[in-house]
Amino acid sequence: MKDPRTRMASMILLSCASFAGPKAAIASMAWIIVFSERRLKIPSPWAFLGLFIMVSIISIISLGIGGISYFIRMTSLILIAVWAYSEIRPGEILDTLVWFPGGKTGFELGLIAETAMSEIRRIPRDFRMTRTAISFKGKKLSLKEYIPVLGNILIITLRRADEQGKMLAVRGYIHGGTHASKFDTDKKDIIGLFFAFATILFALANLVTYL
Amino acid sequence: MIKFDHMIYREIQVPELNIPEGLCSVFGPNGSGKSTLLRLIAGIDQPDEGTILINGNSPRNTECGYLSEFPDRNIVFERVADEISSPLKFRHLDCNETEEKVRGIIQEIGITGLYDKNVTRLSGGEKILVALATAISIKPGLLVIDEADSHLDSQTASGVFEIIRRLEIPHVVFCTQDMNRVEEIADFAVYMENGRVAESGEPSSVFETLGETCFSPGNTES
Amino acid sequence: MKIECSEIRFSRDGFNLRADAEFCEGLHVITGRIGSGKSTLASILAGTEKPDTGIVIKEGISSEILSMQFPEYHLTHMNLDPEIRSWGVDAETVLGIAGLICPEEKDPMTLSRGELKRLHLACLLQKKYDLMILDEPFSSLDCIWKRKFKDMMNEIDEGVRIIFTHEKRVLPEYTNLWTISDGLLLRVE
Repeated sequence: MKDPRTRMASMILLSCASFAGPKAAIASMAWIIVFSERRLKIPSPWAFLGLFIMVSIISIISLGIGGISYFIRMTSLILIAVWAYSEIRPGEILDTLVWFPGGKTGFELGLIAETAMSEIRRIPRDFRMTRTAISFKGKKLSLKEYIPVLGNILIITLRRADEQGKMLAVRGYIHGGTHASKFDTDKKDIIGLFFAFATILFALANLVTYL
Repeated sequence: MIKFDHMIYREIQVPELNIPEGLCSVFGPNGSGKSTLLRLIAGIDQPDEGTILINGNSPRNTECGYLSEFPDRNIVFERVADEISSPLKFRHLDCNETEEKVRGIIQEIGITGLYDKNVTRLSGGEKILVALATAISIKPGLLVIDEADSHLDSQTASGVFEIIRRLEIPHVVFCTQDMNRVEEIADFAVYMENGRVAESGEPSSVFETLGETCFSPGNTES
Repeated sequence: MKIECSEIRFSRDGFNLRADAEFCEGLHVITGRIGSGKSTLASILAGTEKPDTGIVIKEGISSEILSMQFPEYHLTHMNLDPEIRSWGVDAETVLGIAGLICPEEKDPMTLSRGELKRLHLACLLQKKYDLMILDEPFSSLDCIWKRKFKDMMNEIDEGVRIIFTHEKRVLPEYTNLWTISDGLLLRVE
């Protein structure tokens, strides 16, 4: 999908559908297989694995009281999050939020979201860089060194945020701004959005039947 | 005129310094306080004591463009076009006018090929050129450049300073380790040592005082 | 002892790099304009970046270092003392060589860029490497340190040393001079 508006709308619809029930969650996962570029990348494989293990443990503990349903729904939500992260490109959130809700609020939200996303994207790069630096020092990154290394990265990120605040002030940022959003929409966007709607309707229908 | 009056910030002390309009070069050994002085002039940091005034205004009330010595610290937006246009967007300039200006600047600096690129994936030198384009997009009254030429090849660096000259920005304060560049283009020079301004004035007179040290052009080569 | 690039090809976003070269023992200087691919080639030689095609062959090399252009990338600790010790070298000696008079608990990120570069170079020059790949080692150094670093490099007579730089005035004595022009690595001297 090229258009971030249809992608974000689909993400919200699929997340709601996945949360509503396991059948809709399966339909959402099928949607991702069909409409995503299938080049899933995750900010941190370890964090992803940890999250997946946590979900699995909770599911096993709750077997018999909806554990399987929980597992399917959570897996779908994680998959949607990974897909959304993988396909988002720099500047798209600003484009979308300036389009809707627009105005000063849209620009402010877009600016915050863009800088936050930029930092999230930098964390794996910082981590890779640190690992390279450690390996050239003739050492291996052992498990017990992970916490201080991640702590360092967190401190660097906070400092960068402070520096970025100063850069914004030097560039004359006070409140809001002007921005011309540009979107590229193709057939796949429309079809994908249509099926995301279909998935949420399917979820609602299931919910109504259940009630 | 950039006027320092009994200015103290951490280990930096400048009791009196008057920088006239034009290109001013700040140079000296590593750790002498050049970058801190530049950050103070740009209004990024504020003096603990005393004042710095730029044509009678505080640095924070002056339209300023700033290039950090750490290229990654210049980046706010990842898309080159968003990054360069950000000072214009923050000033609520019309979108069409912004785009026109950005296209003009990138053409002037010779980075048209970078327009759609991601800043974080550029080379160190390219990041500096994007930061320069961002800094000059508002035609600032003050441009502060912290050792940008150390990341550029001499041809590109010369081109960049040529553009800066052409822009006729009232105050340009730049830090460099290239003494030949100071001699060639600076109108005023400030030599720093241990957090103090050791010499200041016209480049030729400052170099005369520095004599046979490597901080004098011609002695740079071994 | 040598490192060889065999039919290296690398492309990203319209940028192309080709390299077929052999770097024998001695000092090699590689120049090129900004964005020519110096840092990319340095990373490929060090193995931190993978080429699209081709291979890097290292013979007789048991220890290597890539000095990245920006010294802050090498930092793994928040204080000077553990940072220097993480290189396996003595903190006092390194601070002396780098000419840094500051408390050992100082945060290295509060040093100026030039001081940080001095610290980094002082750490790595304390050790012996079969392969040294130095990306812009002269950038941010003042003229005193440029000379000092040049002299230190001239004293090393073992291993393969490759310097990627746009510095022209202060260069150590080199075995070969290379340049990257129009995406192609060429031997000049």
